[in-house]
Amino acid sequence: MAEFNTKSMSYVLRVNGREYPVTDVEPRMLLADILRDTLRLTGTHLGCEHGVCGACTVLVDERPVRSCLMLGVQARGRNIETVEGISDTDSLSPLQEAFWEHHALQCGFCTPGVLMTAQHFLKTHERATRQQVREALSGNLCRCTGYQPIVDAILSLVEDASGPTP
Amino acid sequence: MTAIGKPVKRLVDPRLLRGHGRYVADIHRPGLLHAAFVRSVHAHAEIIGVDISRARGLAGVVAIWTPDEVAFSPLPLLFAHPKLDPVTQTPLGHMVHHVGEPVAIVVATSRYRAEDAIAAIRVEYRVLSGVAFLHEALSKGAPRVHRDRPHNLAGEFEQRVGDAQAALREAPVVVHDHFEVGRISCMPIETRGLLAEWDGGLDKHLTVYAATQTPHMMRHIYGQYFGLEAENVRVVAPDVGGAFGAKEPFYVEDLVVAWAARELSRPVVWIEDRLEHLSAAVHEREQIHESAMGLTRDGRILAVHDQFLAGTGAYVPWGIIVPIITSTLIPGTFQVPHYLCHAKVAYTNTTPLAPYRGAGRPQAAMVINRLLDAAALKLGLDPAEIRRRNFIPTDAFPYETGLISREGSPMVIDSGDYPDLWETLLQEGQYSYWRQRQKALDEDDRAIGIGVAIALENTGMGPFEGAVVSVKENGTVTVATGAASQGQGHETSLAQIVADVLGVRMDSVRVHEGDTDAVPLGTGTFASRTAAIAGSAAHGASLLVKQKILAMAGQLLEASADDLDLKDGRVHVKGVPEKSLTLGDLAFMAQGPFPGSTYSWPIEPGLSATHYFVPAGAVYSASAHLVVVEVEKHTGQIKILHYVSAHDCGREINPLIVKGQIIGGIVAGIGTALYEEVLYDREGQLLTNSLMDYLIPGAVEMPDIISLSQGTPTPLNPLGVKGVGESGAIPSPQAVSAAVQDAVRGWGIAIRRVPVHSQDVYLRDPRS
Repeated sequence: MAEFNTKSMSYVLRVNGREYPVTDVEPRMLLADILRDTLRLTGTHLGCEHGVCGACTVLVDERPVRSCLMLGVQARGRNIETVEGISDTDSLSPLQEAFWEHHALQCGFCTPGVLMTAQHFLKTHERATRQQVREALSGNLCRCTGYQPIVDAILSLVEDASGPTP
Repeated sequence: MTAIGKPVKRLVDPRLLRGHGRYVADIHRPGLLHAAFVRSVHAHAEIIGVDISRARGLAGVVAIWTPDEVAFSPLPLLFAHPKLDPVTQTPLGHMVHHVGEPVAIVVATSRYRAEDAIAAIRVEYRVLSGVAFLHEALSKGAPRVHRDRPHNLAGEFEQRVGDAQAALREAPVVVHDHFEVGRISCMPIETRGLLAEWDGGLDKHLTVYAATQTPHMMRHIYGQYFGLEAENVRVVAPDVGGAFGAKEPFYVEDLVVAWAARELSRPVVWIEDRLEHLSAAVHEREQIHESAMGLTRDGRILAVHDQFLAGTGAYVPWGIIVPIITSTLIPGTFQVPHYLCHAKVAYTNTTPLAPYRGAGRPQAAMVINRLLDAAALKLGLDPAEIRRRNFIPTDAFPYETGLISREGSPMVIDSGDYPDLWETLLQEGQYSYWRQRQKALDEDDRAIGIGVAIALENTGMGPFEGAVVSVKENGTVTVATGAASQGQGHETSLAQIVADVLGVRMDSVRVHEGDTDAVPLGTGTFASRTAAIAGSAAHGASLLVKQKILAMAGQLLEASADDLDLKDGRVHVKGVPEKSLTLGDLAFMAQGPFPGSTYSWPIEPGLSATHYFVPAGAVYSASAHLVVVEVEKHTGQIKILHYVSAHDCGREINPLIVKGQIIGGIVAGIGTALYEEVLYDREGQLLTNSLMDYLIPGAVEMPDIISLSQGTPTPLNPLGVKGVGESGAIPSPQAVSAAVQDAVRGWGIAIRRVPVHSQDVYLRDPRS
């Protein structure tokens, strides 16, 4: 059996533009668990804990990251964005509105990870084809929607470069 | 009526989109402890001993229980059947019957610490022979799955209409078929989990937050196990991240976690991980069929005979409902004058099987549609045409099938229009166009295939569902129901129904579900039943509330009920909008005047009513799919080019939600057809342990799907609604595999199994 260093440590994480003290946690704790259990930011979900389903996707320095494959301590000094930071409390962001409009979520469990992937995609694409949107979603599994309404929602926010459908 | 029938955006979404959902793993309690399970690494073994000496001393470990310290009685049998010889799981017993079965529980201050302890526990097994493959389970000399039983047969039953064997002997045309369906995992993205806490006051009280489809059933089982009255157990399904059947049965973990919380007088949570989900949450599908169809020379069905073997894994967590459903739905939308189905259900040393989205219906759709395709080929008929010749006629409803339904009563199909549904699919789906283009599109290195399938779905099953509708002083209307949502948007559909009856805005309706304290009796969410059953209950309760509103307002406004209208949260005299009262004011007055004074309203106190809807029988949805695929000759790569679905779920409460259910179901069905399969080796070792081995559909390989609606309302409920939650998943495995078969027929390849993979369909000789 591997012996883990269970000696606790403390550090600071910058999440959604705010500094959070993380005190007396084991160094082995995953970023996802730090966000969820220590900081009580439970919008980030865990679906597989082995980096496939993408439900735990957050942005670290603007890039999508599986928070189940990164230690909390590795995120020190980085900019972490989670679903809770997408919009202020009064209104939904255009992305969230588009998901609502297109029925792009059902159970909502994969949704936070999908939204973070989409945030990154929209930041890096002004035009896109349907296939590009689908490729961008390749790291997020959804068992409810069949993806089609998610693709519709994201595509509604960029210039559609797909061309006419045959 | 204003809200029903509109594609209203879901009320729940803004909360979920902000990351403010509250799933079971999000719930925190002071002093919360975390459970983890030691699980069997063998498919069949006796537990000789469990060494916890190292684990016990580890930091954070609070308690460990092994089979030596506990003695639980077996889990209750759910869905008993006279032909079933049941074995249910014994929690933490000395015998294990599949890989992943719980052996011991560790409770610690964190999941990390609990898993440290698990790694330090040594279990000594005496490994026994077992059987993992379904096709070997009933062979002579097969190892026994359960040592105390003489054989591996769990049950055997028949469905019979007329004399199929005689009719087959005399039929001028007969086709035979053999096929298998692999084993599927339900795979919601949220795994199972529960948090249990006890209140140790005078009255012992248990509260469980669980990712479940059936909170009232859980409450009942807890009550029996712990000797508690129903009012001393509360089960709450908070936001649930998908279920698809996995969260329907009552599991060992459900019991042991609640028990541990009681022993420790501390709240305990257990959240399943993905490996546990693959090895311990129920699977489905796995069946092997041998079938034959007799027809006239012009392609009219005379008889169908099907014999099949269904796996149930090591136990029967939900009776043998899946093979029963299969046996009743094989004739489907067709007239089959003589029908015989003989089913055997076998135990194997594998994870138990119970309903997954579709629940035996996709298998039934495969049997009849495969036979019809084979017959069409033999008779030189188009697959679309042979179905036309055999549909139950539109004027034949209610149609008595002569079968016995899953409820044990005669199976009568309430309504439908299959010829119209079929033509809608073929026309809107451009069937002729694709048939014409098929040959032109065939190239040296690839072939095009077209598949069609149609399926019948029994939905909206009993026994009942209830709803309590109440108007509050502030004009808010609350609806409490025993159903539970796992993403189906009940809070929106039910609000649409209630808003229409009471003339209030949808956003003033609050739906409470998934909480046993919200409504005393409930059944749960499965078998595509909530819109039809809970929807009808909410409708009935709203009508009762409306009567009370009219009676009270009639007295106050000095008008007869006929002269009153409900609109915008007010009741007013027709044509005199200023003579009105708000529903909130009426609710306030209906609470009664000052204590000590006399109550003078013509209704019982409280602007509230309860209604239980008890359906007379199932209501039958139907769906038809058309799929075009391209198969690459030398790699076998399968690409879906065109996917069209036409479905009849009666009247649609919310077309946006209906379409979402259809498309989601189809994608699940494509997974069954092309990607997903839980695999064991011969020793019962699970080979698909992660989402890297068990492939579910992803965004890239899924097509854009065209979803068409037909809608023949059922006469069996006041809304005319039929279920839709599973519809998409039912004809899809057959339609997709038929399209692949159509593509590769010219290469001499016969598809006899789903999932069908690229390695099954590439042309092996590259010179040809």
